[in-house]
Amino acid sequence: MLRYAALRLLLAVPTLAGVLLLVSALLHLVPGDPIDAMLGEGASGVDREQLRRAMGLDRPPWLQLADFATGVVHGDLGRSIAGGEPVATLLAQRYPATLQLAAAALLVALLIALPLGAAAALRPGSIADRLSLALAALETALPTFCLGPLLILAFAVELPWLPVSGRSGLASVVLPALTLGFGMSAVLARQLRVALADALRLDCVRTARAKGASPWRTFLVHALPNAATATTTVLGLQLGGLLAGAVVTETIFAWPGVGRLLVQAIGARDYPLVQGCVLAVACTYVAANLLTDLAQAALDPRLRERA
Amino acid sequence: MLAALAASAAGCAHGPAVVPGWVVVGLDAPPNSLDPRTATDASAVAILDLVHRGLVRTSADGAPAPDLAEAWETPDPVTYRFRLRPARFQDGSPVAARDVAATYASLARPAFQTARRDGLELVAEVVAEDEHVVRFTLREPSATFLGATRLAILPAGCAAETDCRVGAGPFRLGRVALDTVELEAARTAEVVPAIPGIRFTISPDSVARALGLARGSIDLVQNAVEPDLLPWLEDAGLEVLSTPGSTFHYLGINVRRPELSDPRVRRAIAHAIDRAAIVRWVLAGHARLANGLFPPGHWSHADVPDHEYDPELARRLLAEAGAHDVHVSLKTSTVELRRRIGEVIGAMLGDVGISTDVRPLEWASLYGDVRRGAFDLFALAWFGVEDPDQYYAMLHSSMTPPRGSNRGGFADREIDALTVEARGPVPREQRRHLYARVAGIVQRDVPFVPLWWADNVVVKNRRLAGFVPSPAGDLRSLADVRWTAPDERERS
Repeated sequence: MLRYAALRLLLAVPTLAGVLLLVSALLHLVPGDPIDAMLGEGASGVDREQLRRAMGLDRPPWLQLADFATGVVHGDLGRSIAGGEPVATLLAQRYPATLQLAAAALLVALLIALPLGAAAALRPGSIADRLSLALAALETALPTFCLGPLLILAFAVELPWLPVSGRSGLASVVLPALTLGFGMSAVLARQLRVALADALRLDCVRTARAKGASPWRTFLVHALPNAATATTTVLGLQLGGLLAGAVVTETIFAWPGVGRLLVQAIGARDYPLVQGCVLAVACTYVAANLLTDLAQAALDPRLRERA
Repeated sequence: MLAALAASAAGCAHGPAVVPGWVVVGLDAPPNSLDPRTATDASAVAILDLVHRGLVRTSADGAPAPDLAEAWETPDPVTYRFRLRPARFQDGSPVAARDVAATYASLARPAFQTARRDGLELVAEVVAEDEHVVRFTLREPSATFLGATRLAILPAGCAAETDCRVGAGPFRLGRVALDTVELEAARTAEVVPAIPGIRFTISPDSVARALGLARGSIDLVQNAVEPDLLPWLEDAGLEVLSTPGSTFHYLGINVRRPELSDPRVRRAIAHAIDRAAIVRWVLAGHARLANGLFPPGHWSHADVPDHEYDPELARRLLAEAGAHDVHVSLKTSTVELRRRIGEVIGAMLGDVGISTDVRPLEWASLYGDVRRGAFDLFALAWFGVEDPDQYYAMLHSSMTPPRGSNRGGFADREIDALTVEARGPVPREQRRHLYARVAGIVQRDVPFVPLWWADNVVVKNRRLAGFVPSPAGDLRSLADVRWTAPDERERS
């Protein structure tokens, strides 16, 4: 197991390098200039070339990236072009907010999806089954930029229970987490329903029933673990997506996360900051995938033996 | 996961409840700096206008008016002598001539190579003659120097630092956190503000900003709510104030493109756009049709006729120019309102036979393309421009990027001569005449199409009294506001 985890971590290095290379190459290809973005309109008296040299921006993009990579190996993410702060400091300010939102959204998604998916699988065609189907359709039809403001209107304006936006205490995480979690829950519930329906038809479940196990025991001990592997895969993929997909939600709710920082950095063509953000998001993605695999290995003895 | 939630809950110290009596102002983006010498974006300027004062400020007609300097004289065209009025910095020290000299001297450092230095390149020397008199010597006469002395004055000691946050304005910088900047009323101000403080809060989504206003968690925003939402906000009990503004929206034209090199084609473009309809239906009436850079009321406003909407004339001009099957692209920003305006203009141009491909681009890409001349048409705006020397930056043949803002590559001998003459040591009245002639040529040759001057639209809490929007769109009037009833709101 430990060897497996170490191997996966080793494999993550080329993945991260590839992501970094691709993003930096794309950012240098599109028009836009960090000096122009920083100076703003006018600045006729400024020697832009001198400033470019002073900031090392006159060097070829691949050399700039190589500098960044060397820094990363030494634990230094460089400094933001626009503000001059260390990239690591900026990320450290934002990362907890992103993690908090992701965790809360995941919790919301599980709280909705688990009962709904289970009920749908146990009673195909029941109200719960149809509700989960309707929810899935609604989720597809209601993107976050629409759901977010609707939730604010309902629970922060008409019923002034929660803050409109910003990050100020636990109450402020509720609406963004609902917005993000709701979107995840429908897919998760449908996935769980399918996996559970399959698991309920397994020989071991029939045997458990035949041996007189209670319906709860049959469900929790025999059916659920068998359905869990596939659902965990989906959950892992969604968790990774949460970090990248939270940009819109973070913008609507003025949530000070890495997603918004990344968008600002791209807008300013702040190359080191973009690279730092991408590295953070990619690392989290890799970590989420690794955790998913480890969880699956823990859940499924067959995978453990192969590993 | 639960552990992560619990751990992060402990880190939720930022953004605590607003102290009663404080005014919460919503901004769409965080400030790029809090030092007035490096602050260039709209958010930073809006905040720092309240913290700092310069030697002069801009009066309603766009001309420099006394601020920290109570008067000035120009014994010869390259010498300006400013006499300071009694005032104090927020650290309690008096504003003295040596502070002025130190502030201007600090601009020479590489860290402060920004647009704030525009207009000050010709300053050779700044000398404190005594406690209250400071003398500027220029290398050569300049008509734009005085306007540039709006620069914020910092205490001499503080000016030596790279991030100086002490000024002589009515508010001093308080706590700065992620997405919030707080200003506290400065006891040192000549007139201490009636409110205890202002909290600027960053709310990047325009719908969420409007909802924040409706909830009462934001008290005031300026030019940061979509026009569509204004009626709803009024219904929700907020007050909408609209005053004529000076932000100039225009359509840039690349005259180097063969199909756009004929002035008749460019005039056709100007006549094909029904600007009145756009202002009425897309901007909810919150703009005035523009005939040049500066609106009526500005000292250099020129009374030239503007291009009326006349699609028939546009088609005729295109036929005269022999321009058939003209295809152009129009680059605009991805901001929803700008994108929509771009679509409308594209459709109007299509109506007269100029097929237009509207391309919304993210800001840095748009700006990058515009600066390197990679466009046919673009839609952008100038804000905060107060001196008509801007015509030199936009139209003089030597001012193509990166030197200036002549992005379309326009070149005209007469314009070159007029804009150079007007930046020399000539009296204001003569400058006005020179710029009126420039405006006439712009009207005839259409190097860009003036669209409109946007109004400044303020949405605010009804109980907040005394706010007067300014044409320049600054928030200085926040120093004069007060609450009309006790602030009893509960906010979290």
